[in-house]
Amino acid sequence: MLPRFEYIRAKNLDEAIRILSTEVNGVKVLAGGTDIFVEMKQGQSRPRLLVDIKSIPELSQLSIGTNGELILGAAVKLAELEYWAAGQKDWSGLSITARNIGSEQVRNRGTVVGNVCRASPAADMVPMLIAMDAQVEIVGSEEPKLLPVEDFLVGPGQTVLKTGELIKSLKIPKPPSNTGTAFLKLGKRRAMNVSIVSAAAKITINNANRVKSASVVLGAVAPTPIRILEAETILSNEGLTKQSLEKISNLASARARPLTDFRSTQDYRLKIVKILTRRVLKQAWKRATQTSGI
Amino acid sequence: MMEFSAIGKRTPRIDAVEQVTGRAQFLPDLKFPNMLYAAILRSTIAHGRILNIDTREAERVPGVKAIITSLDTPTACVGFYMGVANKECLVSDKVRFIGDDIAAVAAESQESAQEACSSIKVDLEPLPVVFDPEEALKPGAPLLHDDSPKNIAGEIHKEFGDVAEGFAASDKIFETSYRTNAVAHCCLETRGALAEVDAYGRLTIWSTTQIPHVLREMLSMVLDLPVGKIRVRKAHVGGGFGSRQSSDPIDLICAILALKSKRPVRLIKDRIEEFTTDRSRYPMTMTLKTGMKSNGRIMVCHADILTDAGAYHDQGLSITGYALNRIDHCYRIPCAKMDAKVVFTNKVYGGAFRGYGNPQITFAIESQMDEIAEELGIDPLELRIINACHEGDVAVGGARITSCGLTESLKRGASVAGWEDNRGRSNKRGIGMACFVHSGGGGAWAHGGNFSSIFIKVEYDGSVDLITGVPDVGQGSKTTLALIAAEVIGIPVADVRVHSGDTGIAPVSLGARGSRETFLGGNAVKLAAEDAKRQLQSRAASMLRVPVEELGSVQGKIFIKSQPAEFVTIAQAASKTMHEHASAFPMGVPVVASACYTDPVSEMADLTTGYGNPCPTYAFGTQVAEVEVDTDTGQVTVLRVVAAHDVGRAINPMAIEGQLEGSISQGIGFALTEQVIWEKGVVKNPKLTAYNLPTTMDVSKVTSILIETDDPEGPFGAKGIGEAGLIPTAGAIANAIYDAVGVRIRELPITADKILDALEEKTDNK
Amino acid sequence: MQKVQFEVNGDTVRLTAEPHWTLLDVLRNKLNLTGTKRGCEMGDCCACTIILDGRACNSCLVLAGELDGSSVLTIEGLSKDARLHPVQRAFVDHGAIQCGFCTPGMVMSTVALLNRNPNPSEDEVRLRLAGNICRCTGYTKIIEAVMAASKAIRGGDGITK
Repeated sequence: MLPRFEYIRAKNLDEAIRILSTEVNGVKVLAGGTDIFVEMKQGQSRPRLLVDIKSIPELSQLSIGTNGELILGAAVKLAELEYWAAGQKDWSGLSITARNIGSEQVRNRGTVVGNVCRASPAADMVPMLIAMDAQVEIVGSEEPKLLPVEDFLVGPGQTVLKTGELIKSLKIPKPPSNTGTAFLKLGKRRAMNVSIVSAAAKITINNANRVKSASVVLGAVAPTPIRILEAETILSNEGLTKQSLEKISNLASARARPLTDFRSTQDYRLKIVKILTRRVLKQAWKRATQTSGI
Repeated sequence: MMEFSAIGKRTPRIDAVEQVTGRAQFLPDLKFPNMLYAAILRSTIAHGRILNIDTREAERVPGVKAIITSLDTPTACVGFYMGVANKECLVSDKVRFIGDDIAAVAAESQESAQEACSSIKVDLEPLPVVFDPEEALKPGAPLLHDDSPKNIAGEIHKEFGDVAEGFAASDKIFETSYRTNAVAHCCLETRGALAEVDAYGRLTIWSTTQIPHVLREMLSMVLDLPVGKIRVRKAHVGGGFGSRQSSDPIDLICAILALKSKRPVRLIKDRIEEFTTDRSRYPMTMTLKTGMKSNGRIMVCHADILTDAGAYHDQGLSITGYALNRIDHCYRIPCAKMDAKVVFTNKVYGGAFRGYGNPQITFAIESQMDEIAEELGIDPLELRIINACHEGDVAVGGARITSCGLTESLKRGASVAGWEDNRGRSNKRGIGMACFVHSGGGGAWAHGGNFSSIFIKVEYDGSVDLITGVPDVGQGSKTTLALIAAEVIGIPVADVRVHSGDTGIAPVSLGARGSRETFLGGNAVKLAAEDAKRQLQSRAASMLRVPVEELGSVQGKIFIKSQPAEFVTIAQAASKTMHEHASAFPMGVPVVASACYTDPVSEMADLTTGYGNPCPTYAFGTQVAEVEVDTDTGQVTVLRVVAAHDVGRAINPMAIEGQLEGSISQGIGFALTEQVIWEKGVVKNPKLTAYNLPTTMDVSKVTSILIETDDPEGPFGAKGIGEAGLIPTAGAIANAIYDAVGVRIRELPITADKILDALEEKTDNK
Repeated sequence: MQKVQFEVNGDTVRLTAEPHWTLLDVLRNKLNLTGTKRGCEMGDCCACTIILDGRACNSCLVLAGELDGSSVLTIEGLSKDARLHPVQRAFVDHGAIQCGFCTPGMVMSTVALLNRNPNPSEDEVRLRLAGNICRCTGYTKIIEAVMAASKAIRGGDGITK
């Protein structure tokens, strides 16, 4: 059985904000529950009060905004994203990423925003969201603000959220045409794993098949995911070659600060960083060229 | 070729419908009025002397009905072996691993029980710790048990044949060491026990046990209660794989709490507790020194094992001994030397796990066979065929091979796997093989004898009840026994009901272990069923007015063989009254039968030399694994396993395939991903997602080849398959990896990082 | 304590629940529906899988308080009229059951999958069932049973959803 706690179901966003602002100690937001209940069972977390946000209508919505951006409400489930985004040229990378998390059962409850907010260094949605320049919409007593996901996460289990604040939505800008995305994770088995290393990439090419923009982001190898900023310059100058990929993967390995833990060693993780960096960029490139029809 | 009516048919489990509808009751599903919940206070340090235990605050927690410490429990031990097992159910002097049992509480709710446990104050004086068996052997190492100097739980030293001569006559000597680590059973149902006491002081224990009658003996001895006052029962059990073939402190703890509180007391381990306190496969470091002739003949083998026993001793010596005993009767070996030390360390103690030491030693033997093959320039298949045992062999240690499908399994397994075509490709794919021998019908001589017994009654409608002590913990023994009864008596298997594992009504069986249920239990059923058949046919003979010899029985009918249209139903024969006139409800003379089958083949091994034949049959087999290695990441994909197994007779081919497929999945985990990881005595991965047992995405295609060698003593020739499928898998995979990418990993699990390191070293050495 | 009202296997349930009770607790302890099993209580084994509002979920990770207005289908609800659901029939016939502890969760996961995708490939089946751990069967016969059930259902084998 779970340890005891109190439970409130917020009917609207104002109510949620009010509760989070006034009930200062030991209160947590409850979305999917697939992380928080496990932490409670393992004795890692003992919230006094859970505020259920699933009944707040706008938080359950998955929609396309006026600029073609994808808006995921805080209560949108991983499975909802996975299935919706599966056939969609612009968003298929998000689908593939979501599908790699947990089990079908966990994806049917767990939320995309929850995966971000838990801020595990190995959170699988985060590298792809960063690669796609996603932003979180934070609401609270102040005016709503948008913040890039990579600035939202500040350390293992730590975000910039202040007391009384919560995430209303994730906003992912519509990728330019001729864009391909890819996500890869490596674990000790092929399903239901915490990533040992993960990587996401986004590449946009022009009509001449030259790289216009690129991002590659690594997960599980530092307190927060690492974006290899130089990738774009290197790829636009040199194209996708064995040498340019080697340069980028060496940079990635130099930036990564993985730990040795019971799952894997630092040494092995650094080797895999290089492998996944190369593979994910190649995959993103391939998908970009397929999209463009060139 | 014999024609059977029930045997050999692909038969769904007779209890499948209740399982698939959720109606099958497991221990946690049973409701007992007035039940109390138990919780155990466990040590948080790996080694410490108990100075004081203060339960006063715990006693005041609302809902608490009984608290016990070692003052309330007998000092006798829990486990499988008398006098050897030194784990007390609640420790009296020292705690010796993180999780060791200190006190227990029974309360009205789980919550109260746990709260009370947290309120018990324990003063522990921390003691120095040791976690590695080699460290534990060194002078000055912390001593876990005062009566075990150097932390040695036990030693084995045996020699058969002229070993010195064997080495002298060898052209080449190979000496290599291999290592396996602890793996957890991960039964889907965690371990549990429920104890209740009736008005006469008689104890009933419901347990997730594999050994109801043996558990009853243990309880009787430890509690000093006559056996007749103890009843062990089981519901459906969610897996065992050897974890439940030994008693556990929770069995005794619940019993004592029930006796003290006078209410039913139940304890079910949660998943973390299961990982941290249940016993896993014994880690072993095995050195094999093997002498070979250049023509490929094995001259001698010296096996030396260091077993990490963990904090207490129970089956470590037995399992290590079993591993050693295997070395001389898969291959023909003129002489063998066996040495071992079983050593204490401050971790959870080990236990039996499918294969009983054989998975460990077979990984070593089969890896070395391939290393030898390469060095001698002989194909690994050829090397094995040259040395394979045959029917009629008597091994130098005394094992007598009365039926043997090893060579056939090698040839057929290799052929189906495409051995010739698929070896030595350089595309990062490889195939490798391993074979094995495992005992069937074994595991009993420790109890002083090998037997199984059963009661049968035939109902008036022609259906049959089997009342057996043989427990089904998921492996399908009920269906196997039902098939044998159905075949012999001549009824559809759907008309057989099996009542299993209740010591209150069933005669003694030694439990689900040692791959013995089909052989021993099956032979007992066969004997009793033949008696029932004789009774029925004798009545039918008089009803049909023909001699008994002219009758056959099948599908519910007893018919005249030469005129099959002339028959009586089994129901009619069973319902035959003494007098044809009955004015009230006619009640036929009951058909009842019983049998105790005692194994005429095996014998107790000589207590001094160890020479002997302790098992009535031996199962052999070969597995060929095909793998693909990602040389960038070191990850291994097992593409296919061809499993050619000598089963004697396939009583239920579908069930046997299921056992093989399930074992191979465990074998893949053992080979590649599974390990209980300790750091300073703490289990770092006590979660199913951190432990990494195979999911649907991690298993390979399995092609099963069932070889029938018709064992002379097995029921209808059957041997036993419960453990065999797991034994060669890791060796086959290790050898396949070598074929694929040329690296030899001698430690399990063969994780991706080990492969990458080995590939790097190989490149560096070029 | 909260009052919740939801449907289980077509029957309406009204309950006053403590906040920390999960759906698994309610099914097993309050409604005596013990077919759904407790394997780990952390979402790692999926033995407790039920179908919640049409989707396979771990009942150990759903609070009783979250159920108001929802509809739950458990293993007991699959064959209410004593006829086996085609998925159950296939599991029995193909030897996909050994100890039976993972079976209710595995069956419910399969039913949810086939409701969503009546014609999955074998890869899809492995993916969607990847959370359901089985230690006994090695999954081979389970996959065979799922493929057979899918064929039977598409062939018109009647079911009650």
